[in-house]
Amino acid sequence: MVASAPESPAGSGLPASPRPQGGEGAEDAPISDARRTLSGSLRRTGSRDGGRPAGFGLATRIALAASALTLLFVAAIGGVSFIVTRAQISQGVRDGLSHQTALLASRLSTTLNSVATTLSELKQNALVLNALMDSYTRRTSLDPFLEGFSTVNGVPVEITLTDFEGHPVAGAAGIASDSDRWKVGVLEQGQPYVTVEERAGRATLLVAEPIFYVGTLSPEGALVHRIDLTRLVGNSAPEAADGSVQLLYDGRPILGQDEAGGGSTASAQSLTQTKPLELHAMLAPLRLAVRLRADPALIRGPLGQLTMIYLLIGLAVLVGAVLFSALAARRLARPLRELEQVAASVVASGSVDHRFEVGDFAEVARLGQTFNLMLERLGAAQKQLARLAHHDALTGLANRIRFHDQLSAALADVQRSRDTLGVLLLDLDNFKDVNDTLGHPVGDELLKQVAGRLRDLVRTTDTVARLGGDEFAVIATHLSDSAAAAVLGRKMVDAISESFELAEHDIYVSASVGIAVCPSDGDSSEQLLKNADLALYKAKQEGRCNFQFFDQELNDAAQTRKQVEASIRAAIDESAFRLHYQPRIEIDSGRVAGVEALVRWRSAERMVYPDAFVPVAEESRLIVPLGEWILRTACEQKRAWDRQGLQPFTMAVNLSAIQLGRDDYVERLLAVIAESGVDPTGLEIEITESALMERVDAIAERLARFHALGVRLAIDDIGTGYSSLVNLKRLAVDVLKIDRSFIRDLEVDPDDAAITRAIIQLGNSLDLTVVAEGVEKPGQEVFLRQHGCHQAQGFLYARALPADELEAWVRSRKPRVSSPYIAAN
Amino acid sequence: MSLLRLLLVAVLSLLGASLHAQERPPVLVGLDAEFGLDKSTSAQAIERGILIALDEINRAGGVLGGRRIELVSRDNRSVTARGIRNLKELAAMPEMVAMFVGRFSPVALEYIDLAHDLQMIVLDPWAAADAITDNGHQPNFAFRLSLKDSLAMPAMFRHALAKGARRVGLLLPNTSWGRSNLAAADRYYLSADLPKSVGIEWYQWGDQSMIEKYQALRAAGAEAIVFVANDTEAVVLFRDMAQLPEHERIPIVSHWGVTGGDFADQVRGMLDDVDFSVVQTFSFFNADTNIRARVMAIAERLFGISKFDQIESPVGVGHAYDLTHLLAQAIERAGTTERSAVREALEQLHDYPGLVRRFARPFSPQNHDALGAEDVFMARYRASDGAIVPLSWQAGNQ
Repeated sequence: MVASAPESPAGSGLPASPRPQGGEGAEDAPISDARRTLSGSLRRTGSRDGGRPAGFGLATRIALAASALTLLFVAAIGGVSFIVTRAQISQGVRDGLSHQTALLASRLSTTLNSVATTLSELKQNALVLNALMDSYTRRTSLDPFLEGFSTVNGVPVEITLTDFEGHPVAGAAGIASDSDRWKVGVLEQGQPYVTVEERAGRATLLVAEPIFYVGTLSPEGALVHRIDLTRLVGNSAPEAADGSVQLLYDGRPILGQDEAGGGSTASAQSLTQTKPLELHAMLAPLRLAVRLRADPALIRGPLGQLTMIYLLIGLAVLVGAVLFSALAARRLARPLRELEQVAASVVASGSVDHRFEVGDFAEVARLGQTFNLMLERLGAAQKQLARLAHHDALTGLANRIRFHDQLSAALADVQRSRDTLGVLLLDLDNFKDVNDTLGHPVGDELLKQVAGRLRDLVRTTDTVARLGGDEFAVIATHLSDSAAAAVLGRKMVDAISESFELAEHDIYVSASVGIAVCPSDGDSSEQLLKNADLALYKAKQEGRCNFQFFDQELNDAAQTRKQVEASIRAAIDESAFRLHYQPRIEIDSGRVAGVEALVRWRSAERMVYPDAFVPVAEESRLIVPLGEWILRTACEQKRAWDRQGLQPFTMAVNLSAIQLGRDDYVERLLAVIAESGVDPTGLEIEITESALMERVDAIAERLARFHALGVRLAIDDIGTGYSSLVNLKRLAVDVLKIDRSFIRDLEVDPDDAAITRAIIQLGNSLDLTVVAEGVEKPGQEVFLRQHGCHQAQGFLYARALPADELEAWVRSRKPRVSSPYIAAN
Repeated sequence: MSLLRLLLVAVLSLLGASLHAQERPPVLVGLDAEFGLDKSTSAQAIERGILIALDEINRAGGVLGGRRIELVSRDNRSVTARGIRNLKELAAMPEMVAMFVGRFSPVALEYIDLAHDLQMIVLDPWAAADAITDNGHQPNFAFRLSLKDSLAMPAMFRHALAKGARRVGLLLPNTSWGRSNLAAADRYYLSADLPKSVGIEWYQWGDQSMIEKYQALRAAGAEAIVFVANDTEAVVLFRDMAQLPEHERIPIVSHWGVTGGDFADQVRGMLDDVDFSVVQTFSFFNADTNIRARVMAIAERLFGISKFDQIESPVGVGHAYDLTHLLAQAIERAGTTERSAVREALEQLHDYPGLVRRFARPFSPQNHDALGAEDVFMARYRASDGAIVPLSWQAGNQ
């Protein structure tokens, strides 16, 4: 087996593994898999090209070709001999026939002539003419008289006497000729008429003769005779009975065209000789001829024997040729077959170690050498392919494919050993920052070092894999319990927490680890991975830089989140969201300075507040369509109020960091503003301070596009995040909104009061409008006014109201005159 | 609609006017006879008799208040099949009231049944077979003003006896006419005063020689030959006999078929070699001179014949002439051209002074033969001109 060959073939181009990741057995399986794949493809290729099972072998083909050639040769010789012989036999038969035909023709002439003579005598008999005048005579004398002529030479003759119009008056009931042609000649012109007609499958001779009336010398009737020519010829030429004699009338056979002889007519024609009959003057117009056809057996007999001899000789030659060519072809094909067997072994075993023993046919020998060389190259390529397929090129760790293979194998193993198996997913907490700030090469280097540290941590039986990006996974096998997994998880978090020396920097990163163990958290690789992922999510939620085990609650929370997500989706589809508007009051004048659009979700049971669904919407990115809907609704409401002539005030809309995360989202939002037709200077967008913490450059650029329209920018919840003052400057902020948490205990907590004061001062000094949120008590308002806060919103003034209520509220509100007295207090 | 009706009325009135303007259509009478038969004169004689009578009738104002009678002739060449065809043609013509037949009994006999089927009046001025009028049909559409075999045979036998022949031989054609004569002979055979028959020889129509049959009869002891023949066969026999030594020539008593052709011309010069007499019923020689003169005036005008002894086949002329007058009278009597009515009228005619004789009542329902035994006489060909002269007349003048 090649599997035992040394690792890392030279020139593979892959980073060499520092050391094997698993034992020999662990390495063995994927490589043989790769072989299987390779050999599978070889097999497929073979069968697609029509390999051995489909076609003829070389030996068979050569043998067939040689045999076919021989067959052709034998057939040609045989064919020529056959034709020559047949011609000679035919000539002999034809000569014989010619003589016989002449004899027969003369015999037939004699017979027909005697018939003609009899008939001409009959017409001259006076009784015939008399009968034409007298029906009694016809009945009493003519019919008996004609009886005497009812046969000629033993052949029946039908005799009919007709009147001047050709109607039968005596004798046979009807002449029933095929046509009345005879009447013209016989009755009008007084000419005898003869013809040959077929009647009931027999050839008949029709002779019609005019009867001249003594009184007028014109034909006043006719005597029509019909003679069975078939019988007449049959009687005088008995050989006609077997169908070998044909009587031709006008070139057409009228006799002797029986079915049995029909097939051989074509060949018989060339064997016949015709001779016109010398006939009685009455019959002279008949174009009669006899044709004698040779019994095909006369030719077939000797020809058949000869053909048989030819066939036997041909067969013997053919068998010899087949045997000889088969033997020769076998010898020629043997080395090729051996080569094919080696190839088959390679295909069957998947091993490329087989080699072909080069034989003595030069062409085949060269083919064999090339084949061997191909096998060597194939082996090398196979190994490289196996490595590429199962290892991460950057870190040399197992890749996701191999990780799954290993996990499946380990799971099978753990069911036997009843040990605990741990799957630990590790994700770097702020790898993106490293990439963004220090560049990808440094990021890659960091990943390599992380890989190295993880490899150092685990035992040799464990598997470390890079699943993608900054996500790593460890399969820890043969653990005594989940506590052992916890130890490993802790070690991993700690190992990553130590500083990395990269590009002459000391870099600190942290990692979150999610752990799932088998069997308690699942026994399939899918379940374990999913649960480890949930645990990792929890670790991230828990503030990162820690490890978490999967537990059921975690799972339930994830389920809840999914349900909420589905509900939001449905709510968007069903337009279950509403906007409420909370007024913002100018503290000095009591004037309505603006409203903040707040989304409300009236689900079937109750009103759902944004805190419950906005985070989920952000995670699932449903915030994008939802936020777009909010902005559009707010803009349209604002425009509606402006048209109604409601006192002008600012419409503030909250934007999520997600909505600012991509250029195309921002394009959509800008388009929504444009489509609504609202005056952008009356709009204000609020983003939370925390949203500014990542990728501030990109966000600043996008916010600037709103600002360019005249839209004001407010930073929400100021004081809760870590935004730097530089950012405030870069972002061209117009409004600062103090988080409600500072306002709530303003009167009792000096820290909150100090922070509030500081923010107000900061805003004033940067010439920004400062707004206090969550103002509920008059005392709070007094404090704010004293320290120069410009605007406030909160239950002290109004809660968030539906549009129509807000409208009513604004209209009913009496502007409070700024009181210096109160201010003084 | 109204325009169409107007048009219809216009067309109908025009049609009516033109019909009115035309003469009333003529009454037609047919003749089917042996015009085309070589050397035959009988058909022409009959036709002349008819035409002479029609000339008189039409000049006298026609029939049925001024309608002319016109003749339609057809040739049957004495061929029965042609006669049948002609009968059908004539019977199909409108206003065809009756048809004359020719000399040949076989032809008349062949179509007598068909004539009754077609209700065609058959007027026979010549053919002698009894069965033409004694045809068994009732009503009978055949009327004859001519000799019949049952009258001819006794007359011929009696004449043979008068010639001193006690044994006679019969030479008959193998036709219905020949058989008709044999039947007539048989009927009178037992009569004691008739000569005995020594035998019958039948010849065929168209036989080229009769000498063997003649000699056979003579050898059987015949002292005269009762000969039933037409001119063609008579010429054959006559020529045969002329070759014989005088003592082998016995008298020939002939039926009158011979007079239907130019027998006399063909045997001219031999007429005195054979004692040849022929039965007749009419002769211009015996006719009423007034009527004869009237007829001959018309004959001269129509046919350029000035002398009555130049008329060939005189019986045909005479019989046809009288039959035509009788037919015209019957049409007047019937008052219609409807054939059944005319047929009945024929049976009712009285007192017609004809050329042949004066007829008190020519036909009756029981008798369709206008002539009787008293009308039969024997005649001879005059050797000088071939005219047929009654023996009595000849005797009377000599």
